[in-house]
Amino acid sequence: MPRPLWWSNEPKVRAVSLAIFAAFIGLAVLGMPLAFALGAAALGVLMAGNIDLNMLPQRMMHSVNAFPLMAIPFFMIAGELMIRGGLAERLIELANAFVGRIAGGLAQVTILAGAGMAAVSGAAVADASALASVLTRQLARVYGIGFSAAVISAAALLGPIIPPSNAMIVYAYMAGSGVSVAALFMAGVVPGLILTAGMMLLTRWIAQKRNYPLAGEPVTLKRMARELVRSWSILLMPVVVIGGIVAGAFTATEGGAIAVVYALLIGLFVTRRLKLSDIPACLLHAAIITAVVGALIAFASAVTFLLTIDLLPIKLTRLMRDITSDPLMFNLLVALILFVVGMFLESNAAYIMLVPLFHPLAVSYGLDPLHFSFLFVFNLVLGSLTPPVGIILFVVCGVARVSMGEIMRHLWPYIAFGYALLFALMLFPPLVTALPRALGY
Amino acid sequence: MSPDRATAAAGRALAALDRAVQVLVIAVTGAMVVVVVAQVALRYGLGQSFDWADEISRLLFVWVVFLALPLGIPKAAHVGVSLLTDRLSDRPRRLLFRLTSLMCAALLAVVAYQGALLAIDQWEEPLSTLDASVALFLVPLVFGCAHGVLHFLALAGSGAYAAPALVVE
Amino acid sequence: ASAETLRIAGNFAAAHSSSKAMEGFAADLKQRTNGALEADLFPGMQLGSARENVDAVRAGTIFGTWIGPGFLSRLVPEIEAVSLPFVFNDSATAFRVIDGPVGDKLNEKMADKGFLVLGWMELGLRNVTNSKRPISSADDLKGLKLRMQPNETHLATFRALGASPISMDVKELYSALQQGVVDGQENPYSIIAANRYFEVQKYLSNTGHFFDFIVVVVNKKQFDALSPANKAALTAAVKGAVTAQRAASAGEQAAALKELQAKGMEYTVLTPEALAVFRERTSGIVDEVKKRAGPELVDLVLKEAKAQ
Ligand code: NA
Ligand code: NA
Repeated sequence: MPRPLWWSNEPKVRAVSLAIFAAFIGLAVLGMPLAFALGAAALGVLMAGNIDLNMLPQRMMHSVNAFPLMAIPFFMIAGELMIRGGLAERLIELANAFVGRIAGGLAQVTILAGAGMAAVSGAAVADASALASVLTRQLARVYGIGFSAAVISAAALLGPIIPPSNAMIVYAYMAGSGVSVAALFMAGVVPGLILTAGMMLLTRWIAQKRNYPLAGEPVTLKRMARELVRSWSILLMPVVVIGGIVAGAFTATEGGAIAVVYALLIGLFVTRRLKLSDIPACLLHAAIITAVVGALIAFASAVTFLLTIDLLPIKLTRLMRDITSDPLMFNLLVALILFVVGMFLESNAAYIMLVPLFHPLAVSYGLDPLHFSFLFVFNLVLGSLTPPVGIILFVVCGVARVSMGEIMRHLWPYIAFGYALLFALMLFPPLVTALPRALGY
Repeated sequence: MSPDRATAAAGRALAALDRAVQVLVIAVTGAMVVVVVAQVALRYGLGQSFDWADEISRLLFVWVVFLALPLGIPKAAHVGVSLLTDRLSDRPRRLLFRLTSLMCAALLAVVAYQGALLAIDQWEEPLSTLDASVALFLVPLVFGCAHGVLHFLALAGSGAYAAPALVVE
Repeated sequence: ASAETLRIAGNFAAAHSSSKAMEGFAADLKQRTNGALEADLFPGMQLGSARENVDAVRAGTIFGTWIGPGFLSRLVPEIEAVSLPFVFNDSATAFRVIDGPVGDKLNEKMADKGFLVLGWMELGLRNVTNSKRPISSADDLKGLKLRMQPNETHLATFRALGASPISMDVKELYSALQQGVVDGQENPYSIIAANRYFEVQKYLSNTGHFFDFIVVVVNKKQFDALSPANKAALTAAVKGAVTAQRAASAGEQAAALKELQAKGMEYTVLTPEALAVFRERTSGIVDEVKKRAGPELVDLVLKEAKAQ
């Protein structure tokens, strides 16, 4: 019987890793931004361990010196241009023509519009703020503010599940060459559709139970056709961008740049809501957000370097093996850890710190890397709906001016459905992997 | 000059630096889009490729990340935890904020200094596909971190606490 | 007594013959020094990309690395003299040259930049794969979009052969090949097999256009600080690993080629006449390389490679 890690006879191993974790958590609790808390923890250990400090700038520069990461600002710029170009309004009108008269009509419209937004933007937060600022007032008039905010939050959840997805780009990068961004994008399609359909059914059930009035306008074929024609150029965007990536016209990063050009053309010439003077602000905003993610990656990779030379990944693998040799148990264990992490931690920080540790482990358990990667992303995305730290909740609370408790009173069935789906996907891998495999990944 | 006026002048200088860096960041971000789109267009239009496209894209990206890093500091855009600070009253909170800001400034100062030494050391080394120094990858890191030091010192000086961002965006 | 630990990183997978040989080195080193000097190995890019490993050894963050010498050519351009196209026909010739005066010259140049060379292993001859057509003559390369390493000699060679070289992050290569963003790539058989490019490439030819070494380099300052006994043990252990790897590499290449064919790749053997055309069309590259690596060294390599 092998001895567990904490009895290891190599005290230096525990000391370095533990010192880093303790310093990081301590500094983070004091309110130091996470990126700098990571950097300071690494700096402290470097000084204590008498390792040359030039490792810091070296690691930081090399960790963001990567073509695949450029997809992040690209999809961010594209999403921002689309939103300023009036995309959310168009998608809502379109969804209204189709599902406006189903029980919970306007709420159904919100979810469907959320799925549409998800197919052109890469981040939940952008979707949440766009949907919340456009729809809150109309929704609240019919359903009250709590349920309205809950539906908007649930709709925004689709953002990083349905491709493109910044979360998936970060995951694939941190996992190394074993995971292709395009394959991970495709892995999100079926679960994203199930999530959309499931949330619409759930909404219908709740609306019927509570006797919410029908709010939408009559559904007519003529109206559907008119809205489809009006929105064709937006609907074509995921076909061009995601389709182009999958079909091999360009790489995921190049697809992001194409999306920027596409969004620019739509905003300037189709919806005509975008002004040339909006563009610099879009670029600057995307750059600052990219820098926030980039700073996390840069400082975290200094920490990862120290943990690696401290042999933590090897020790962790042995520890996990001592606990369980069953892949499903391992998967459940990771899900539990991520559930807790998702409650408290911003998800980018979580990918950057945990993927380098867990992904190789999953591979060593013989799990399908693609399946594991998707479950990991899905779990942390669900974490953006769980208090106390839930990014979507914060955005919707802020824009819709509603308390977190009030949202949670209405949101919990959607969260429960999300986790139920997570377990279903864990047990039936083909739901995740069949589509990418069929496309040859 | 009185201390107040000196502070005000320093604030104006920092704001001017911010504006200049903003313009540069916007230009570099735009250039990044242009280079990648041009690369795709060239591949399909002429069946060719620039040797330097991959390297220059990465270079531009590194510039965006590190030049824009300090711009997020005064906006409290860098994600963090406000668990403790939310529960403190105003005075201890400001004190703690000054302290963590100073620590951030010290960290970035070390990175900038070490980065500068590294850049000087690598100055003679050329890029693979461009006739320029490989140290160009380190220049924005040095510059951005030094710029960040100024912002953290300004925050430490003013003690103007703002809760850190809880999300990226 | 606490053991001294040397950190040595590499970008080849743990299963590659070079990583295996380094494992043998680590065990040998521990034995030779009775545990007073140990090596922690980090294969498979655990401590960053090849580019970064070079910087890290140079700065002394890690002690050493085993790496394709091309990643050192920015610092020591003379290395390009041994990456001329079609200069070595087989590994025996390549090793004869690198173990002779050419190697001594290069080791000197590397030492000037703070690197101590402990040995040269084999990565192998690089060969072209693609998804479009069998390559049986130089003309077949015309217009093919081939992913190349960002190295001037490599790019110029394939441009001279009429292909369209495309520079691309290796992390994107597999999916780019799969999707047809690029038509092909070039690597030694063992790497083509290990990276599973056979899943997304149909045609393979024994172009053998470049011979790639793997060089074991360490930070010279840190090496000099070791005790004489430890220095001797380290040098001897690396020497043993290099010998073992060279022996293993030939078998590894042959096995990889067999595997690639078994996995369904169509293998084309170039005739000597066809290869002569490749040589002729790339003969101008020598002058370009002379500009960067220096004419004396390039002439020395050519002379040594011909000598029998
Ligand atoms: Na999306
Ligand atoms: Na949460």
